[in-house]
Amino acid sequence: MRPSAVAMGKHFGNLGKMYGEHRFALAPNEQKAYKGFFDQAFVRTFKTYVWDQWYYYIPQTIGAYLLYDWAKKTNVAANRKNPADFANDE
Amino acid sequence: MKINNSLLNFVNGMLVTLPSSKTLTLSWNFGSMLGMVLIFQILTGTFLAFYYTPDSLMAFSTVQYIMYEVNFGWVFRIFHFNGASLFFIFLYLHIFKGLFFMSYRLKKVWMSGLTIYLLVMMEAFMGYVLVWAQMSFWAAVVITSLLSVIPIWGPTIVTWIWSGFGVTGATLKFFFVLHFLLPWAILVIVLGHLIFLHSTGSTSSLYCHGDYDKVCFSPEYLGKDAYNIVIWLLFIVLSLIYPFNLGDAEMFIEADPMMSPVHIVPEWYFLFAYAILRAIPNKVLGVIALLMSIVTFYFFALVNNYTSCLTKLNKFLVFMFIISSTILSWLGQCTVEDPFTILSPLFSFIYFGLAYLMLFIFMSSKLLFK
Repeated sequence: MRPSAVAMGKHFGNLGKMYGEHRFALAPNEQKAYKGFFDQAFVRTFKTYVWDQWYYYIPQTIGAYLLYDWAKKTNVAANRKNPADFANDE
Repeated sequence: MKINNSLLNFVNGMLVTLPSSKTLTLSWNFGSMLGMVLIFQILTGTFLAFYYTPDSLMAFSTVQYIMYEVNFGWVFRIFHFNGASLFFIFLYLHIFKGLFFMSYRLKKVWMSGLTIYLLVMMEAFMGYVLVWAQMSFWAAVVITSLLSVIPIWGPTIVTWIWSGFGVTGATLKFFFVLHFLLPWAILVIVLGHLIFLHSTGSTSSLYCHGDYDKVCFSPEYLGKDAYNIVIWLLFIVLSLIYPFNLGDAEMFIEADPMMSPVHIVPEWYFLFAYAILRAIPNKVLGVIALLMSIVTFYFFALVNNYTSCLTKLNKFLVFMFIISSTILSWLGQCTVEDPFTILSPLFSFIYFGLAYLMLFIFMSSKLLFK
């Protein structure tokens, strides 16, 4: 039984109904401290935030970067002479 | 256990036995991190105030004195300076998280949060001025002059804030007092913000029908705030290695009323608003747009809609909003040249368009499920 229900003022007989919840436990000698670490810290995080949601932000970010790059180049070009105008100078 | 004390019961119900969703991720740590940074800034700022003198002829010198002569003065200044940036980093993360999860459904939390945001912006601006460097001085001139657009009382208000007929030492004293007092007011509002939040609990991505399918706030989420220490270690390392990377080179030159910098830019956290201000040629309309870039979000709290959320569409729009804000911030530090003069109004329009689109969808989605 979870202590949170009791701590929240519930009493026996009125602790509510829960459906579809599964519980499991491991004996101390069965535990591995780093079990699933790399999966949860890296693989699953990558899947959750990149692999399954890339279309929310990656195309837009690429578009923003291309715009940024274009703007910088255009600004540089606007601040210098056009080399073509002086191609015949010698 | 039963506690026979109404105050303790009040606190207990908010921090210990508050029913919380099981799905709160590290994104919910941003708020507690901000609370920590606020306390940190107040402490470092108080110690810096021991040695600082808000006199126009001495302010810049006392900053250098703190850096070079006061024992560990440089550490406090660097931490205070970068702490402001750290605060705004988490403030923006916190705001975006609020937009992603449509936290504006918690109206009082949202309203108090936006108020805190405005006050913190004022606080950061006044702190920026206190250094009394070139960029400080001229930023003060530009920003305080914006108040002159207020009808009838504008010029009087500007003169009052200047305590004279220009930005002078009297202005510095004015800003120093406010810069020191305002955080305590912010602290009170933050406390209110926290009470409003913990009265209802956080919004989350998982819908729960009742409290019995939730966990207690303590020890699950109270303990989770300890993860913030990772960010603190990162902050300390980066502050000591790159102390002034987020600053401007003009901050090392004493204020000179006779000569303005070639290029005036505010701190990175104000750049999007600065870009919006500059994008509009008219001064009055520019100031109005500047204000509306924040005030727009107050309107979200006026909509009565708690359960009808188009989460995927909202997520898409929030990502677009973040990207357009980022581009606006970049444009804010660009010079007023081709093609930036075209992109600024374009992205200002996109910024407001996305904000009002989110508001419209939030208002309308209730009707879809009627």
